[in-house]
Amino acid sequence: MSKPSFLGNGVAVYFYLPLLLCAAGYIVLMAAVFPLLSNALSSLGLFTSDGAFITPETKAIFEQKDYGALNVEIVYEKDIVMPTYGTHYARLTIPSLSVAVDLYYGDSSAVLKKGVGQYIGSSLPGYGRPLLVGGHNNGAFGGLQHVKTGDIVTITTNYGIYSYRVTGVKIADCFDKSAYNLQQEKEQLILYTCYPFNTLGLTDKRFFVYADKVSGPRIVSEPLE
Amino acid sequence: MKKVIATVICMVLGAVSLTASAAGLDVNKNRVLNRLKTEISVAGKSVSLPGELITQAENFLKRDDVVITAKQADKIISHINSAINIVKEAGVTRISELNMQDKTAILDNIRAAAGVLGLKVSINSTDKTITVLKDNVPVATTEAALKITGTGISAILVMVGVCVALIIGCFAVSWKVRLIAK
Repeated sequence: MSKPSFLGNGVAVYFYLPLLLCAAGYIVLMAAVFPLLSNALSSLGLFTSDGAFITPETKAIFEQKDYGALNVEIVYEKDIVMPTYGTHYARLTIPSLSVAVDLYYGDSSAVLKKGVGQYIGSSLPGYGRPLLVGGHNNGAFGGLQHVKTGDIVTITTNYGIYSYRVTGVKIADCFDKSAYNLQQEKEQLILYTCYPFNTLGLTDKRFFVYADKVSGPRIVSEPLE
Repeated sequence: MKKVIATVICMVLGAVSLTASAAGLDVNKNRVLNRLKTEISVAGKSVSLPGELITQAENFLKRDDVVITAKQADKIISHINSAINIVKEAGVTRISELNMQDKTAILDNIRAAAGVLGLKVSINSTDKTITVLKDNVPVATTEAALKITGTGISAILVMVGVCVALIIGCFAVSWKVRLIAK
C-alpha cells in the first residue's frame, strides 16, 4: 500500500492549502487597499478615541480670502483673532507632496481626526517663535516620509500667508524634548507624526520635519512710527 | 458735583480701558504674564515655569474675550506669589519633590487664581496632568507636547470584529439557503 502524497492528504487539501491561499489573498488585498483602509481606520478611531475635553463640534474662523491682499509685511496684533482650542484657523499646504489640510489650534485626538493640530504651547505664525504641529501618519502627514530639504510648507491664515523652507528631518523618541525647541527666538515650523509610517498600532517614535520661515507678515503690538 | 464728575470720568476711562484691553496684552495682562515669567532662586538654582506653559498663558491672555481688571490682576498675582513662596520654603526645584501638603496648597492657589477669571482646573489622575478650562475648553495644560499620531490598536480590533461578524453572517445565510450541505 503506497503512502498518500502531500496533496493527496485531506489535511493539506482542506486546511493548509486554503490557509495559504487566504494568507496570500490577504497580503495582496492589503497592498491594494491600504490607502482606503487607513482612512477607514481613521474614521473608526472617532468612536474609539478618548476625545478628552473637546467635543466633535470644532469651530472655524478661517475664511477663504483674496490671498493677494494678504501680501503685507506687518500685521497689528489688534487685527488678529486669537483662536480658541479646537478652532480651525488656517490651512497648511505642502505643494511638492500634494498635502493640503486644515490647521487647528489645539491637538486633541478629536482635532487630529479632522486635520492637523498645533500644540497650544507654541505660537501662532507671525510672532517670530516656533510652531509645533502634529498630524496622523495614516492621514494628512503620511506624505511627510517623502519630504525633501528645500520643500516649501505654506500656512495661510486670515491675516497673512506664511512660507517655510524645510531644513531637515529627524526621527526621535516622543519623550525626547531635545527634538523640538519651543523656546528659541526663531520662527521655526516643526511638523511631526508617528514613525514608522504605515505601522498599525502605536509607536513611541516620531518623525520630525523642521522648516524655517521664509516669508509672511510680522505681528506687531503697536503701529510703527 | 466735583465728585460726580470725577466718578463719571473714572467710569468712562474704565470703559475705555476695558475696550482697549480687547486687543493683545494690556497693562493688567502684562503684569500677570510677567509674574508668571518670574524666575526664583531655590537652593542656589534658578527655577521658573516651563516655557510651554508661559506661551499657553500668553496665547490665552491675548484673546479678545479675556479681560482682566486691575483688581483681578492683583488677586491673581497674589495667588502666584503664594505658590512661589511655598516652593521657596520647601527648597525644592521640582514640583515632584514637594510633599503632598505643599502640592495641595499650590493646587489650591492655582484653582483660586483661575477662579478669578472664571476658569476651572481639572486634574487627570491617570496621567497626572492639570488642565485649565474656560467653558469646558482647555486654555492651558501640562499634557505632553507630542501627541499620538498613529493608528491605535483599538480601531484595528473594531475592524477585525466587523469582519468576523460579516463572515459569520455570510456563513449563516449560506447555511440557511443550503449553499453549504448539512
